[in-house]
Amino acid sequence: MPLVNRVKELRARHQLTQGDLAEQVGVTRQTIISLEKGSYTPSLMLAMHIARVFKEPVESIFTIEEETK
Amino acid sequence: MKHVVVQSISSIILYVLMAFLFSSFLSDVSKTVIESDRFLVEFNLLPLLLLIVFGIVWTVYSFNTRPNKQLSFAQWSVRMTEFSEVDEREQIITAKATKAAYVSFGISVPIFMGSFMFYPLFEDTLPAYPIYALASTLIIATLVYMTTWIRGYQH
Repeated sequence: MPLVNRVKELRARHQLTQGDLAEQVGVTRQTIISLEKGSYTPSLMLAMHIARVFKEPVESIFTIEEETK
Repeated sequence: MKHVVVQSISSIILYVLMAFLFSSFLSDVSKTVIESDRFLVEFNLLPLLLLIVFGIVWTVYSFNTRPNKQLSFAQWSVRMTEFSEVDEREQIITAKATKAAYVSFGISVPIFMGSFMFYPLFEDTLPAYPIYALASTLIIATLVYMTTWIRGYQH
């Protein structure tokens, strides 16, 4: 069950670059790239950091693909 | 990724130079002349010089390009320089690559152990075989680590 996310969409809405977001959540830009591509499943801590940046609940950003269908 | 590739290749060069040094030392010792009251040993200094020069250049470069700039020289010097764990994703990739390297030891070491059974047959032509066999296990593990890390990073 892959995890899908709205990070790319929210990042664009908040006018943040991948580098900006990476810096704010304390990871490398490559991690944000992988996360947006869906090839990397973040830890709960990273997901919560991202949710805090976008001021949205974690479950509205990250969802299990099966739930979205 | 560049850091891991450079450090892995540097480690491989270091293992090759160390193997060259020890095999050269072994060869020199076997030529040792023991006279009645004297003990004469001649050493080829080239491998030692190569190792020292490479070691200095590698140490300076590696310390200046270390991913975690907060590490002091004392802390940095006791770590494997191939490790790059800047964030959680790199920690996972490093863990997977280290596991793959560990598995490679489980395969390469028994193969080399088996090859030692035939060592007496070629001992005269390749006396430093045990040194190169040990170096090869390290080189194989480092190559496995590097390729697994690159694949994990590019995934």
